[in-house]
Amino acid sequence: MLYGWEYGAYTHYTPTETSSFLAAAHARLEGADDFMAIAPYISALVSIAGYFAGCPAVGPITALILARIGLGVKQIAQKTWEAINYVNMFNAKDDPSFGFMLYQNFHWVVNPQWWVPQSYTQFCLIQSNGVVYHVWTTTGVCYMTANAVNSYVAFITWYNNHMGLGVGISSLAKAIRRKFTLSSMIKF
Amino acid sequence: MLRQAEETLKNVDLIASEGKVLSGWNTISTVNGTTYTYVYRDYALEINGTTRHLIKVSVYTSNGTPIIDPYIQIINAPLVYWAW
Repeated sequence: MLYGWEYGAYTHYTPTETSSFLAAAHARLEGADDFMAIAPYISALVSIAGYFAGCPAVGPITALILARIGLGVKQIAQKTWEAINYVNMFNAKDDPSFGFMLYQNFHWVVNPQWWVPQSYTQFCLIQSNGVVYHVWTTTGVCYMTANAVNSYVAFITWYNNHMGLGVGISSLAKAIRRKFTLSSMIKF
Repeated sequence: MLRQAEETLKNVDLIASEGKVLSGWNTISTVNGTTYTYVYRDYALEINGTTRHLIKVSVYTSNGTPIIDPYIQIINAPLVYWAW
């Protein structure tokens, strides 16, 4: 049964761009006192939205997500910088040609299940060896408010309409229904 | 999620190197009195029967100095369970 959708958002900076990214991140994260100063350096969706004019805003909603993990803004800024710094040092040693990568997972639960009662997002840095580094917590899971989910869905819908995700939601849903029908027929 | 991240990693490199530029467009934005030009290129490549997109965004100041030009991509997958 289809109960939701999972999105992976990805921003990849080359080694040359990584210097600009790190300099900006350090300047903004040190002493950051609002969520909007942090969001572009950890949220791939916020960073992506920043590159497109006319798309629905994603940024302000990040505050609602972050507020639910039990850390203050300054703690989050500090932990974010530590994570960026650690991963950058690892990448520089492991593969200097890799650059820097933000990855955000958005787990949109349309029909809540007992094992996943609420939509969540995970903010990650992908190391050059492919390891997923979760920022702030070991699992990186940040449960989302309904407003936050709506904001993400609005942006992703806009992105899909303008850029394309590669697979349309309706065609995937049809494929799932077909597969489910087929397996039911075999079973019964 | 690790598998999804690994797939993304593999595909992004492939699309960037083998994909075709389907379209390109520019926008201009002014922030704090500075005008920036955004140049977009949409790369596409068919992988396992599905056309995947990758957007390259290059940002320049008004005097033509490049600021940053990352590759970006959003992918999706259904969340399913099997009822037996």
